[in-house]
Amino acid sequence: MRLDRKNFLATTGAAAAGAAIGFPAIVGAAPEPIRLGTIPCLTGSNALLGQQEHEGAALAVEEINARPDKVYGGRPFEIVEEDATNDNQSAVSALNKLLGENVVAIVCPVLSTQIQAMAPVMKTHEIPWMTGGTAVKNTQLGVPGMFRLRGSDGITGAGMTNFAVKDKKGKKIAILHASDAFGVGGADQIVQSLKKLGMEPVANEQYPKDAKDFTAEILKIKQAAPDVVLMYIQNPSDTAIILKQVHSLALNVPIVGSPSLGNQTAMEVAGKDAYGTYCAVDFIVGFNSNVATHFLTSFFRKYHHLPDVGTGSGWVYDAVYMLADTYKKQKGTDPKQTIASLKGIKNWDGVLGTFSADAEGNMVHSVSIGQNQDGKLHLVKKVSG
Amino acid sequence: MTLRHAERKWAALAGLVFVLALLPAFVHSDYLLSLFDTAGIYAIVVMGLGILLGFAGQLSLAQAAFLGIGAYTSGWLTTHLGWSAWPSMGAAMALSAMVGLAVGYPCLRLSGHYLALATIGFGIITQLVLINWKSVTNGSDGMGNIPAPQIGSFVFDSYARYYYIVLVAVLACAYVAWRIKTTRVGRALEAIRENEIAARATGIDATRYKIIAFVLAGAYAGLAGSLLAHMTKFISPDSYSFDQSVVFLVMLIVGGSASISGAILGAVLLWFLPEVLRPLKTSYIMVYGAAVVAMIVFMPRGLVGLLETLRSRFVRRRPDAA
Repeated sequence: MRLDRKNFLATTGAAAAGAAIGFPAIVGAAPEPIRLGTIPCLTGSNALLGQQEHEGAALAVEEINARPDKVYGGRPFEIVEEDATNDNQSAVSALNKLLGENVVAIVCPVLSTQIQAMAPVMKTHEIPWMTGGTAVKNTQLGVPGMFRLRGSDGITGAGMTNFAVKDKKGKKIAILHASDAFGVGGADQIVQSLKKLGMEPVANEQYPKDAKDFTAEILKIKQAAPDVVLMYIQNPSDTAIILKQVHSLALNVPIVGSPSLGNQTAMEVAGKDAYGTYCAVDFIVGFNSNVATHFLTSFFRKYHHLPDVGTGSGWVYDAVYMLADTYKKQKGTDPKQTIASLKGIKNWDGVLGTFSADAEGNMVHSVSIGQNQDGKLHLVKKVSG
Repeated sequence: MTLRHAERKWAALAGLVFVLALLPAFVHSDYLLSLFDTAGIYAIVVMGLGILLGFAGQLSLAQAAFLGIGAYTSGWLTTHLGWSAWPSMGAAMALSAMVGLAVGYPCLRLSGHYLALATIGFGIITQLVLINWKSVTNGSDGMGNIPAPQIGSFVFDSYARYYYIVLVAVLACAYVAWRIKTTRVGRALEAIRENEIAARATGIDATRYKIIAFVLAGAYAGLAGSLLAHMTKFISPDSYSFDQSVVFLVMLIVGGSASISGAILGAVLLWFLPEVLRPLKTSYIMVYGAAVVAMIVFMPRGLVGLLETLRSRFVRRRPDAA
């Protein structure tokens, strides 16, 4: 066929018409994505935690969407992400926005105060809500679809206390904690656990929000001459500064801390000052399940840095996979059906270990105690509540 | 001519109120309605600050603390004593006003930076009290299960229903602020703002009027705190920080500090702006910051000042155009 202007126009016109007729059919044939809402704190002083949650969710979705069957029936996941920022009011706004975006489940946040601020809204929505906040009362707020995918402060606090008293033979225990809901709630759990062992803390110091100098609190603890210091802190940057100041003020006793002591960034910033410290974390790289090993490898390949084992990416990765498995099994995404299925989860293997749902929606019932040995965490023991 | 102008103004205001009253009939998104509700509540806080700073020239960075006092008073009375939400709102206003009096009195000798520093201290102390007075405030865990207001069996438990409570409160507070501004008290406050020594020389009891301004700022924030508590049903100390007080101050400056409509516009604009910028993801904060700086630099009299300038230009040019 000779290619002149007339032929060219006719051919192009026919092709365009064909495409126009075929396009809706092609689009119609594409399976509808499953919209998953995530709500990490991407800006503000807890942005580091939010970034880790973002990375965990993005990795899980990328892996699931790469499978031939995707989530199920060729339907991929699509993340709809809103920034919970750093204040409760904006977090609730972000949640309200997500709820209007036709999402089938919500993953995050990790901050208990934000979870508690969102709870009144979520009480009126029967939709799966996979959270990472560890305050004990979160799962007692009467939210029908709430699940917790990390060990609660009850488990972590009791585990840290028992380790300090029984394993480290501590007789004089001091507590240093943040003044936010996480720090105060965790410290309360430690005090309760000590009470059960017939003990009381020799010092119980809290520092104000956004503090950058902790000398007064550390010196007060030093004055009480404890055997072991237990730290309950959420913010990794606070943790790093505190560890540096503990070292410079020569408070030379074993330190056992909440998950932020195992936070990768905190460990890197604190450097040698964090060596020898213990922490209760979600999981420890190389000492947990095959799922954790796979997660570590994939995570490092995608982001070129290690995942945070304290508070960050692992539980979000697990949440997305757990939802995918549930949707695949029930061949649907109906939120009410999903909540019922998630309540029946038993011995589900994830990065953080084995998940089983209890009546309150708690999925994880143990944490790992690790020790920082030359900048790397090594498993000391697993503790359960 | 003046009468016709005033009539036009009132008609425009009535039209605006009518449109605002119809809003929930057209906006069905809980997200948007919650934003309107919160913006209205913040407008009340900023109006209170406007009386103190805009009318009387007294700089306070403790408005979030008064918001917290109002929220916790209402929360405690309803959850611990079983009070209904309405008297709790009155009590929240009264207690915040009393604390305003208690803070205002010792601060009378201070002005400018020193007054600002004193109010920062009060704000920080208040937040620490909210965190540590666990038996009353429940500490950092916050206070939950705060009930929604109700009239008979009609419960204001949705954002659309709550919108009307907020609208009435905003209108009432704006009216009171307008009455203050246009009466002897307002003129006395203005005189104190411009030159306190001269004001005293003309027989104005500056001490009394400055205390009145503190009390009113506290009462406005107390009412707003109570409204916020009954809307969100959960309050925690981290919402009443120094940072939040700075946000309220910026809202007032961006809107126009000596103007009631400026206070409302500033609160609405700065509450909605981050939401409008949400599509920018984490970059929003950079754009938000730059926008606020630009507004302060290029609109030194705030939004209201800009609108007035535009209006005067338009009014002056119209005969030429005709």
